Amino acid sequence: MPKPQLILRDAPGERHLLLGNEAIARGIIEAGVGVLSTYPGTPSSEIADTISAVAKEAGLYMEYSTNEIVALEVAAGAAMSGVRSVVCMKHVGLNVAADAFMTLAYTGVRAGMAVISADDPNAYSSQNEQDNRFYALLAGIPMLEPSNPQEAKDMLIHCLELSERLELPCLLRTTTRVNHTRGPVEFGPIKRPRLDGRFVRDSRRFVMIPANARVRHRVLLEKLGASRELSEHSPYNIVARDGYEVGIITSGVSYNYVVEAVEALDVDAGILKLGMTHPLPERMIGDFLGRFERVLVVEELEPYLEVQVRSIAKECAPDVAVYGKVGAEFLPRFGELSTRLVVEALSKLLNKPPPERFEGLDERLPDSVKRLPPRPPVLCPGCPHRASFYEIREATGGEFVCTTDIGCYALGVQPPLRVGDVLICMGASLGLACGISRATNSRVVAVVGDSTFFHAAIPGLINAAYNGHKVTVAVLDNETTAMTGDQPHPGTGVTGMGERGRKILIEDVAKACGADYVRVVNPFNVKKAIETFREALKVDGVSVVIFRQPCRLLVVRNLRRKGREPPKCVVTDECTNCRVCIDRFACPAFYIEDGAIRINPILCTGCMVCIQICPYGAIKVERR
Amino acid sequence: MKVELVLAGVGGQGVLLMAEALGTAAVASGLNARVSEIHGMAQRGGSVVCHVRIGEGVLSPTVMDGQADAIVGLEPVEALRVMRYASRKTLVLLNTRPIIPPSVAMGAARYPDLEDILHVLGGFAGRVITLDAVKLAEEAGSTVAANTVMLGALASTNILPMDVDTLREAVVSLVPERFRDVNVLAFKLGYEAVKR
Repeated sequence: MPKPQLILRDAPGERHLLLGNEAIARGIIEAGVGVLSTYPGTPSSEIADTISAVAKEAGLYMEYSTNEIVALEVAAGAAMSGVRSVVCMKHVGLNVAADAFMTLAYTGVRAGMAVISADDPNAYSSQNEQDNRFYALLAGIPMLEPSNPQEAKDMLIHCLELSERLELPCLLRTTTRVNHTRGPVEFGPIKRPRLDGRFVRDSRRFVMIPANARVRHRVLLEKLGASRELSEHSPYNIVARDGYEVGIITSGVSYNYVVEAVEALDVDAGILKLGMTHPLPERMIGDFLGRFERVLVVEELEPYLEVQVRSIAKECAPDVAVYGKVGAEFLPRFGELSTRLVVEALSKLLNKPPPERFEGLDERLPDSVKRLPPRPPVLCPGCPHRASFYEIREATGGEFVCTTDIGCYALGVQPPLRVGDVLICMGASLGLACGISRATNSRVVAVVGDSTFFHAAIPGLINAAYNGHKVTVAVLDNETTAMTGDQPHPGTGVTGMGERGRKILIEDVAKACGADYVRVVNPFNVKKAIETFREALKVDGVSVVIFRQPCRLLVVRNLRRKGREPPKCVVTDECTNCRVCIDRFACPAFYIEDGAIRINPILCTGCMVCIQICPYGAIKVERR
Repeated sequence: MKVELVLAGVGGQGVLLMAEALGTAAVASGLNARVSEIHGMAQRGGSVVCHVRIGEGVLSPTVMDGQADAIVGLEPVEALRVMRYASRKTLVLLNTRPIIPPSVAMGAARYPDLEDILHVLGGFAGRVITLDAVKLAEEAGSTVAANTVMLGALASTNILPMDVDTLREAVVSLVPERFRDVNVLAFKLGYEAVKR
């Protein structure tokens, strides 16, 4: 059954294999959510993408907002008006949304509102592996942590119910191994979404001037007291297993590793599984601690639970010894956990040999795999970014400091393109360029993508123009949000509902932001693009060059849908083996066979940039 | 009974689809299952690894080191990269067609000989079965169906707790309609190649 029909299937009791993110999308449908907003980011993207495909049919509104704080505000506005809402984002997105998130805890909401933060332990597709559970603590917002797709769906619905009860937004904190794990999910009944909200004025509650904010802070603390009681009785905070040898407190995906490790080691362990992890059920934890001499806290990333458990232990069970990550490290404070890591922690704590001789494996492995050729992610064959980077490199001669940003084009830092000297977060290319330019008294190149431009680069661009920094901006515009799965953005003129929206042109925005020089080039026209970028580097002030060419994956996909194939390039006998195509352009469609340079016709997508950069005219389009 | 599988290949080979088909077939057979994937950055022509675990009591999304019942390698070097999950109980099912990484294509690294790869695989795993899945996929009508050939091959090893028809139907339900016949044939060719 195609996924959209499956997600909307009105068949309570049926069980289907769903990705964690699809299960959350199903929860959104079951809960009758009226408004869903997002800015895409791995590992959260499929939640909103799944809803985008069914929104019209389901009768709910969804949008890809320009960034996470706007998305959060959209959802908050809906929930203040009495319409259930959900906003989802990746963990670092909550940094962007934090300003609204913190004070929204003061105003609260009227209908249920869930904020989904998808954390990425091990930073599989992220710039850091921050632990967003602290945001719940910081803001005073209740939080649930699912351990599998079924719980992800159920807890999303529970989040909305809790939110309605407390009139507070609730946080659903997931991690990659929940978002991107498939498991059986039992369907519940579907509620029709309501989009007939009404905003009832209550300025003391919703207008956070200092006088009101002070009062609302106290209201929040009262609500936190009430949530603490709800946590004590939460159906998601349970003693999942009785035992006497050792106590284990865990939450989220770590629970799975704990149960399997306990079985593998044959330990008689008691397991306290926490699903509602803010506020913590302190009495419940105190009781559990009192039953053991030793308690191991198993959680990914920061010792969020452990620090609080230690403080509860001091009060309620001073004789118990708590182990985890603080002091003697039983578990790492970085990366993701695994059954093996929990087995090893338990085996060290209980002095019990593990069932597998992992050390033997560890010793034999490196020798066998160390000589394997690496296969890192690369820019696709025909990717317009590769052409843009080649042109930037040619125009700058590698002389300028280049800041870069978040997206596929972050891969441009790899040799031989090597464009990108610093990357930290969405939009930072602009601000960093301003500072580096001022401190070094030289022109700096800032590289930013199209979706990222709308997301966070505009204030930086205005800043560069207003404060007179010497910055040249290269906007790599592939007309989609490619890295996260081709979501639309304001520059595409298509909305999350699949309708035509207003198309916002980056060049218009750049001019309005005060850029002194704005040009649009086609990166597949190499000579013109290099010339233009050289000119942009000479501008006294802020210059912006937009390299516009759609993502090659989309171009090829569209061609194939029409039953056509892109043209193919071939290397002719004129080739002198000068290796410019390989050493400076590095398209993955090229390879060397018996010392001769060749192009793999299966990989070539016919961008024809290699034809233009070959100094000997030795690459041609294949005739057929 | 638990069945634990690790699937390894290169972005674009359809590793994720294989994993989803296995999970779908398991759930359709009334079994519990976990399928773990990594999306995003890892997909851009890079190595792709999926874990599939089927059976009562399966909770963890990932296979513990040394615990795989089978490792399905869609590409020789990628199979070698996941030997952490192999032990003497492991069957390795390998597509022998290499995909040469850019570093090798550019002459900056060396791709090991298949013989050496098989030797190392044999040192970790209990049994290694090889087949040219790309050739069989070509016979079926499209080289892209090599992943389905490998699923057919896996189905004939008696490792899976679901019956062959359920798995084939799961594959068919997940591919676009115009590729269904190709995939049914690819599945059959893979099944027969290993059965013989």
